Amino acid sequence: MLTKDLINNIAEATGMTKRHVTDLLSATNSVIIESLMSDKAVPLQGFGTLELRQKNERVIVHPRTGERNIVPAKKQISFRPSANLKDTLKNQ
Amino acid sequence: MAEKMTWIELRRAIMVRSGGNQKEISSFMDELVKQLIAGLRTDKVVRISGLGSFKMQTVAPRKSVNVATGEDIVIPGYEKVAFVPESGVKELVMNLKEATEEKPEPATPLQKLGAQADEIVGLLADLGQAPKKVDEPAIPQTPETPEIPETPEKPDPKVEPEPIVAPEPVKAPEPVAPVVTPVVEPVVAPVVAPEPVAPVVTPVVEPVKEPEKEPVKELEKEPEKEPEKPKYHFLRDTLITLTILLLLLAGAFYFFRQELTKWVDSLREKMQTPVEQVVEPVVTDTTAVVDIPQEPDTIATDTIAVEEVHAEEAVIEEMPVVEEQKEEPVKAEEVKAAPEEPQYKEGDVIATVRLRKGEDLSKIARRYYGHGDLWVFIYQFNEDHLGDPDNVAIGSRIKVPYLTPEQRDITNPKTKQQIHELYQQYLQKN
Repeated sequence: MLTKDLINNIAEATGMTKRHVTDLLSATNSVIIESLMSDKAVPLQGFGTLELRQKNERVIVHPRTGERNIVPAKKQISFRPSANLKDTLKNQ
Repeated sequence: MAEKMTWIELRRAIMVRSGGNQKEISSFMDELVKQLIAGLRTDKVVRISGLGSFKMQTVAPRKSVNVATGEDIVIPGYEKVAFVPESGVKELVMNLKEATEEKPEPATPLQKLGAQADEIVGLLADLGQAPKKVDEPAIPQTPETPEIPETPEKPDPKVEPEPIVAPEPVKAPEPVAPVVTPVVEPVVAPVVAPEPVAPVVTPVVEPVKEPEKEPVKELEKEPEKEPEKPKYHFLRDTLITLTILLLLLAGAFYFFRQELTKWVDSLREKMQTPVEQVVEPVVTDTTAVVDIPQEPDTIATDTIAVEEVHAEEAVIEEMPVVEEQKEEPVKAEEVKAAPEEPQYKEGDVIATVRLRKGEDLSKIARRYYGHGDLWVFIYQFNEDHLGDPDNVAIGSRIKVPYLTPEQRDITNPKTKQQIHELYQQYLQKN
């Protein structure tokens, strides 16, 4: 499902205009990103949580040359599904 | 990730952002979640442009063993949802990570030390007092620049001690002058009777001598202290202790002046009887006081008296002498210290580098110390987080420790020995 389909479906179901739904969706996106950037988890009720996780620095070895490299530490966005989502997916 | 936004907060934030009403937002959010789940079910992926995509991944069933019973079991497969952020969003978060991670790093001790040293130097310049801090000599490059501004600044605080010093030595000689002159005069007085030439010589010589010495002392002190001002604090320490010692000496001399004069008088009284006998030795005495204490033709008793008088003067003369001797080496030290600027102590980190591709520890050693064999010191310093010294991971953070010039000198047998030992140790280890 692409963004376009998502917008169409939501507009159909709620009776709002596509334009309005597009605006709302972009607002949601920016709120989510800003929240993540301030290191705050974002809950989407009934679906799951988007959060930042710290990945530590680690050494990798090039399989062919045996050269060692360090992957620098970083933060990643990760998604944790809610219990509700897990259930619905299990029961499908 | 300690903090978590609440559902209500999220809806409120979206409402503020989009300008929609509460009802709209809640129905939109509910529908969004519904559609996300529906989309995952049907297409196994929902892509939201500007954020990322939710993907459903299937984890296949796998075999395992029940740890308690040892039975073979099958862990059933399941669906899991993963989120893949858009590249732009990913970078935003990566940048965030860099920003947060680099904050603690730039706090290098050197900068801090330098800043603190500057502060301390400033404070001291205000106070005009020398601290007993050992850190001071370790001030990096700062001495160069402060040196020029400090000279104008410091005169004020330093002027204070000088006037104190100046008057006191003056006081000290003053008592001496009376001590010496009256002492000599009585000696001379009897002399005057028999031979008129001698008295003329003696009084002239002595007053001339003393005034000469006094101005010389003062002049010496003043110019010597001015160049010393821009120097390190331990040097100031020595200076101040010196001046205090001088003051104490002068004070002691001043305090016991009367006793001394009495003592000298008593000596003179003893002397007078033999002195009356001969005139010439007296004249020689006075010259002796000026230059050489022991002139050949003097009578034994005379020489003793002269020596004692001379000893008293020596007390005064010693002071400037001591100053001169001690201050000169101090200057020499400063001159040496200024160009070298040994800001670092052993164990300090002079640089933190990341190992790049194609580099190894010996290259870093060559870059920082001028010789590759000195890598053992770098490894020794970073041993805790580096593995094999021959195969250090690219990108490893390496702290380069400060080495004393002695340690850097590869020809130094001590250093050679040390390098050899460390090398053997690391070879065995790996």
